Amino acid sequence: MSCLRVAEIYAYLEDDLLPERRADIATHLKSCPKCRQAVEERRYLTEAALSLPALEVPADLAHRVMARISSPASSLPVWLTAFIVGLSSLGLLCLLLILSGGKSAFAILAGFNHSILIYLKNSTVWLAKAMALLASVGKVIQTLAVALFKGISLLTTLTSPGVQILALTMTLVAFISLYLALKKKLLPGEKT
Amino acid sequence: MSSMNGEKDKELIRRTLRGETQAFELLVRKYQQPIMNYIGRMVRDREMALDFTQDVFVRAYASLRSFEPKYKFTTWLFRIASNLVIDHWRKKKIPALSFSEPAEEGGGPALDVPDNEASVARKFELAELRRRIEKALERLPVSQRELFVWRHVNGLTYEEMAEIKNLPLGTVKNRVYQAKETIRRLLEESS
Repeated sequence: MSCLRVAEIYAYLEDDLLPERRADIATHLKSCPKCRQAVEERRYLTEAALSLPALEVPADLAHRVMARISSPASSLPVWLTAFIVGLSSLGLLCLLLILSGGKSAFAILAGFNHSILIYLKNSTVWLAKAMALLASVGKVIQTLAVALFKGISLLTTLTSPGVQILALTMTLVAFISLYLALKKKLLPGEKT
Repeated sequence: MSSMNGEKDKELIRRTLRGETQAFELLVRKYQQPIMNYIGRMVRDREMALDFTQDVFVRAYASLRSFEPKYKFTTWLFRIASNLVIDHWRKKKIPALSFSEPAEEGGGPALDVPDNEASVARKFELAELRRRIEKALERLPVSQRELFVWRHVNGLTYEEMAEIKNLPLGTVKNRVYQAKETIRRLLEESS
């Protein structure tokens, strides 16, 4: 039998060979000092590796894990937590202001049912109106922006860069002149 | 790990899923040491290793319902730990491909033993040899280091390692043998 290869030595040490092959190797090792030394070298190394020390774990590690698991705050996003805290603080401040104004807590509670509905109704109507207005304004701004963008795009494709620079300069001068004229016209005491 | 042990784990998982968080704490206490032993040797930073060890259990708890009882809890837990370590390497921009590189069949240490091979291991006392192995581990490619630690420190079987890494059994064995040979070579260089 020829000398052992490295992979075979490890398989032998791990007892991961067929019985016949293992017996062959055992016989070979009796007559081959080189292979015997190679096996012993790797056996010693493996034994040392098997007894590497455990890394220290703090006594409270399990507690830390369990604290993280049972923490309800971790399930809420930060922005939502901030929103809830802010809203609660505002509510508490309003209540304190009402109470400090001389109203009894009972009167507030009695009026709460009635007034909350009115507040809710009014605020819903105002909210709907505001949303409709915002949507209209948004549409107008969008149409204007699109038209402006298209106009600029068309101009830049039709004219040469020199003409574009000239047009920009003239527009700028026109705006500055208009601004100065208006300032002179509107501000009292500056008329000559 | 014995099958009885595996059954105990599954019972603890069932209790956890029924709402008994104390049962999960028992699992944490049981496996915090092996997970720390593995992660500590992979990231080489104690504080980071402690954070990652906690993260492993938090992730495990969060996805406990997806645990399939036909598998072992330990292999599932080590897979979570391994993924976490890979994420860490990727964030550090260190190529993590060596974790998942394709099987290198025949790439193992099929080398012949040289005629005049020096006996390195016997040069050192056991404690010194362990210290040197730890140092050599730092220089080991991550794919070899991971399997070496699982095999020798955590005592996982080759079958378990192959299941965790989804690699052929032969590849896993080759990598472990390769890791040992690399360590031996590093010891030879440093002595």
